[in-house]
Amino acid sequence: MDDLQHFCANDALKEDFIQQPIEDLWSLISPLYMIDEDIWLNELLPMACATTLEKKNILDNASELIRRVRADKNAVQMIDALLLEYSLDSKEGVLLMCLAEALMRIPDIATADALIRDKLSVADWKSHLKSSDSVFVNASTWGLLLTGKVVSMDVRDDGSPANIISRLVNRVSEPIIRKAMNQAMKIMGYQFVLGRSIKEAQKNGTKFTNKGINYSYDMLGESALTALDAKKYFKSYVQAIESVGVKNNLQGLSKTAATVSIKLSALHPRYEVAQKDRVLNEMYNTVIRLIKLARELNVGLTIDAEEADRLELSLVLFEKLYKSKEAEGWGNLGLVVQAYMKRALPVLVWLAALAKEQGDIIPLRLVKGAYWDSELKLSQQKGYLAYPVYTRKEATDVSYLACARFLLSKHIEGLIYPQFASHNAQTISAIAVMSSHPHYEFQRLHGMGESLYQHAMDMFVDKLRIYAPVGSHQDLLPYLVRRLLENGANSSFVHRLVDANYPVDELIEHPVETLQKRSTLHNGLIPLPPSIFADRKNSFSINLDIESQCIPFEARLSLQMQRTWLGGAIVSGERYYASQKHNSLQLLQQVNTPYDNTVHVGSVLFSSSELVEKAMQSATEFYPVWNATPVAIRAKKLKVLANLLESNMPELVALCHKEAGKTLHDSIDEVREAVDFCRYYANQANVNLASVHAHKGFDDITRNIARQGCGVFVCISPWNFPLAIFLGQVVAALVSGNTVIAKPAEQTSLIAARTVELMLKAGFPADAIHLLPGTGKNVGVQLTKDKRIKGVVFTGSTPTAQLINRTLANRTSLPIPFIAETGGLNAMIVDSTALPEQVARDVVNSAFSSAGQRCSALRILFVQTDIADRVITLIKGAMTELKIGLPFLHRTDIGPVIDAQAKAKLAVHIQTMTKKYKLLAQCKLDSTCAYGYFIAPSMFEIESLGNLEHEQFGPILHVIRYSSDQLEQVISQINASGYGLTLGIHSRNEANYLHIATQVKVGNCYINRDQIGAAVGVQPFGGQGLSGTGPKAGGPRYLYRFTKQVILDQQMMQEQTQEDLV
Amino acid sequence: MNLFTKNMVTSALDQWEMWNEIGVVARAEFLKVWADELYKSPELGAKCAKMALYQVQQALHLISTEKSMPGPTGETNVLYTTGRGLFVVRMSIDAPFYGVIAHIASALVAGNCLILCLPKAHQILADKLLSSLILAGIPASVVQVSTPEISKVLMKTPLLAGVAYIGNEQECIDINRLLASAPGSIVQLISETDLDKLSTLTDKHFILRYITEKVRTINVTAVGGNAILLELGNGDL
Repeated sequence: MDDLQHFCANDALKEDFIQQPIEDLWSLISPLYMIDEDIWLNELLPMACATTLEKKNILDNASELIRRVRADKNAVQMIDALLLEYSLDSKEGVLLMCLAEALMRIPDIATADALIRDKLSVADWKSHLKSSDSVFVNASTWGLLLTGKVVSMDVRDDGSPANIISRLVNRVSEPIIRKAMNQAMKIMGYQFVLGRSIKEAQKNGTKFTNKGINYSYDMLGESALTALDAKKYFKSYVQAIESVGVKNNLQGLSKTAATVSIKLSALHPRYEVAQKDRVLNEMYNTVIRLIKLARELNVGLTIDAEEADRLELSLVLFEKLYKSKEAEGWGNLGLVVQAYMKRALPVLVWLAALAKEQGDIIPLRLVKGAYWDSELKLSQQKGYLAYPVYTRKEATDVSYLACARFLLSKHIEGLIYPQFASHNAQTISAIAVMSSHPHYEFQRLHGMGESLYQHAMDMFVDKLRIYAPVGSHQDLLPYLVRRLLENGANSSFVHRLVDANYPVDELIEHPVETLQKRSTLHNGLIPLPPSIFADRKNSFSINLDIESQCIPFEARLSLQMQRTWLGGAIVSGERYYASQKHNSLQLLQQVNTPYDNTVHVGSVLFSSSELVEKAMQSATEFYPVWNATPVAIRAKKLKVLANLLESNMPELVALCHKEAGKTLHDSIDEVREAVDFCRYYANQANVNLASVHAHKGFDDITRNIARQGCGVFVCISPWNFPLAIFLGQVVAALVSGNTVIAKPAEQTSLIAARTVELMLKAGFPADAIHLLPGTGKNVGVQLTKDKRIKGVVFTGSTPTAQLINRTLANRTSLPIPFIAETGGLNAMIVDSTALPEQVARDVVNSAFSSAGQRCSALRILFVQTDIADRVITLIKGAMTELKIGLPFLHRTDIGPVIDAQAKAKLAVHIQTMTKKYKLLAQCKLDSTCAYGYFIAPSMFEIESLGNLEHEQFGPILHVIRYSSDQLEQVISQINASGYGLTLGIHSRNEANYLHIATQVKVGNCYINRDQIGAAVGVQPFGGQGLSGTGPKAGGPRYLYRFTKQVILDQQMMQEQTQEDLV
Repeated sequence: MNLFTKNMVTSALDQWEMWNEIGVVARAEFLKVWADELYKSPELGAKCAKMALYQVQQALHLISTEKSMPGPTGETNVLYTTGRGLFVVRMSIDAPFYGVIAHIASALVAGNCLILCLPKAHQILADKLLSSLILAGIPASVVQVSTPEISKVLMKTPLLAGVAYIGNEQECIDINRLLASAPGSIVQLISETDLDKLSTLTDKHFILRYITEKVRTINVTAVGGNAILLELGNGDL
């Protein structure tokens, strides 16, 4: 944050500020990504603050404007009316929007009817009757009420089927209901969308264009997932530009000639920072073609804003486009900036400097921001230090006004042409008052704020443009409804504006005053990402898409990437590593990277039988000491270790790359998961294991009980999570009072050795944790045969778990706790209410990320026949865009599989499947994969789950089509496999997905998202049947299995009390 | 496996879905009635009834409600439990009967089905037990009675979720070997060999051995429903 000391927000208002070198101004942007909200708002408040005169004028204008709107009988129309009645904080509002989002895309009758029943039968439509003045809303309500009544008849309150007559009524009524609902959705579509084609939109817009109000047309839709979709959007932009161009040129240059808005994510399937090269070449070339055409036809282009992580990339691209010969001298290439982003002001400053340098004005739409809740969610999931956006609405309003102050200042005139998009009377009035020049315009959404602007234009607004979505209702409605759901229209100004009971004083209050009235500038109700868990710190992550975060991290990482490591057993703190001399050749292993077997990572010395014995003896002897160590002290060591892991993240990431072939994101996530395990289990132990409880037994006698470790625990971990699962097992056993002998996977012994070194550094006693790298056949068997071990925790394949179980059972001692987490034949069920684009994205992620080497990875996709072709086409297209290669490069999506054996096994499966079934798609491997263990992600179509016998631990997806009446058979097939780890469901039908989730016997069920990446303490992880024994790792019941209950006598109680005092 | 045993297993597994789905609280109600029946039975008596009630209480305390897990906004994560499936119940002749009751009560309240394979010498008690369960309204296929010999047949198949055992160490080890040698899932052996103190059965978290955990994660932003977050955005603290 050093840069911040040089950037005082108010300085932006000084004329010479933008005359600094453009690189210097650029460097002010990124550090503000996660700046402390209070610090930065304190900078912005003076800029947003109105002078006494301004304040008076704003108040007068805004009050009068509201008075006129409220007096206008036609003020509340269409969308405003609908949203006002069906407020999104009501059950009916959300249900209506959910129905609108999905209904029109459902191709089959049965699923559409089921969705209508799902949404309409549970709401209280009657309460909305006649409470709205809008004919449209009342008509809709009658329809919904009747429909809701009819569909409700199907089921009695107790859930039993209703009588035959009712069901008959229902069946007879279904086509009518469906038709009515589709009609209602179409009506809604007309309100949201100006036209289904650009020509229709232009025609429908004449009511306003005749009054001199023009449009910015937006060919809305989902982001492109495939090259084909990107091409389709490109074509629609070309058509829009051509059509708008013809009309603009016919009309001659008006003060607000129509423009076209483009969304970059629609023009390229990989508009991501990780694919910067492609964005700056392929996407650049695409947009340049649009610019050329638009310039020829005299149509302004505006680049829409998207998520916070893409902001810096979008600016880099904008600069390249703006400086191109095609755009130079034009002055009609614009962009959108979102005021809810903390970086908004320095972005504007940089753009102004850019314009000053080149001399071409930049049209700039200032909006408040459309992805607020997703930004919050992402930051919390990723564990960033802070949010990129403000946490209070009024803070965004303050930022908006501060940005407006800058844009409207005299020295920016002619550099940026501001376009203020707002439906808020206070904001509109404030901008009109603040302006020092007339060269700006207002913008409103089609269907919203019509009356507000009509009166504002009568009073003080000069130029207005309408932002109008164009496209088929089926494509646009879901998009718009999701935007509305996300934006929380219920709390918007529109609602309060037309609500006569809402005090005008509050509506026109200046946001600076509103914000200053708050107890803090930030919103204390929304915890920062590190604090989302009440009892522990969220693990920390680096945002690789943000320059200020990425560059310092990459510098530290590249140093680590140049080194090699030595590893081996660690017994009683002594390291038995590979060395120049004294190596047993039989036990010495050279480690090369899975992505390039010519790159050396280091050497590992496997454990000898004598060392295994030595570790066993030490762990057995030390158990009483460690078990007697107070839980609080044991837990503290886990917390110290968590911090050490975070501070050593670059080295651990480098090890994950080089020894396990993990990609950059996977490696960071690996460290984070390990950190979360440490903190979570530390807390769980403190809460559940630390104290002595008086407990009344079945015999009514109250005893003092405590929980203790069982003895020596053997932890056998896999290579696919060489740090997280390795450490998760080990620290769970340790914090519970057991001593531990850890046997890591042969392939990832170096990471394990480095981790145990850190554990010793964190203060774990040398005799409590022993590391024994080696093969299962030697070290594993010797350990599990030993009668001295009192528990085993294992993650790996099902056959190995069975083998360990047999070895343990063959001992001449009583059974011991055996916690096994094994594989799965994981399925995803997709019905036709699902959004195909979302499905494709989640399928590709679930099946192929981490090269399919996650126990949770998707193996079998069941997709309803009615949408199967579309979904498969999208997945194929998305697979084409995947980058398989060197895992340490940011641009790589998929790295290698772990070793030659894994590669060979998967290759055989691919070969078999290719012969027997239909190969739907296969990614291409380029020359960077030549020396590593790479498997091309592949997708096959098969007939039933019975076609697969075992889990294939790699990037291979199998697709099965099913019809809507076969759902129960699908569920039976999954259950019959005997595996039960993860399940994905994509459906908008709540009753349907809850039914599936209940019926399918799996440990973790994910609905409307991908099915990988379970978070510690959030989604406790583990399966049933062939997939594992339970309890779930990272869950509140896990540690109990590592302990036993003991009854304390008086003597023990005294000792325990002394320990507690310690 | 003979047809009779096969039918027994089939009907147990068919019934299991329903028994599992009614939930801990509903099952606890049945088992409380069962405890009353045990009280009334001179052969089984108060100790058995108290043990049954104790296990039911622990279940109500530890597994009767779904846990809403904390986490990032825009997603709901719920941790809940179900039974594991079909269990065989075995005991040695010298084991206390209220120990078997602990197994039966825990297994049932957690949502499992049982085949009681008690020693022949306890046949009368087993019959009493079964009739008390039926009197309490527990569906017939949820608890059935067979023999220790049949249990050995069952243990070699992949049909069992687990075996509940109370008795001596050697028999426990033998059962464990038999189970481990069977194909398929790792079958749970929930055993008690400390016949004096019943240290495993009286562990206050004993019920956890009979459950399997499930997590249901729903991305609520995919279909709307993020009103709580939006409300927070407008709230004050």
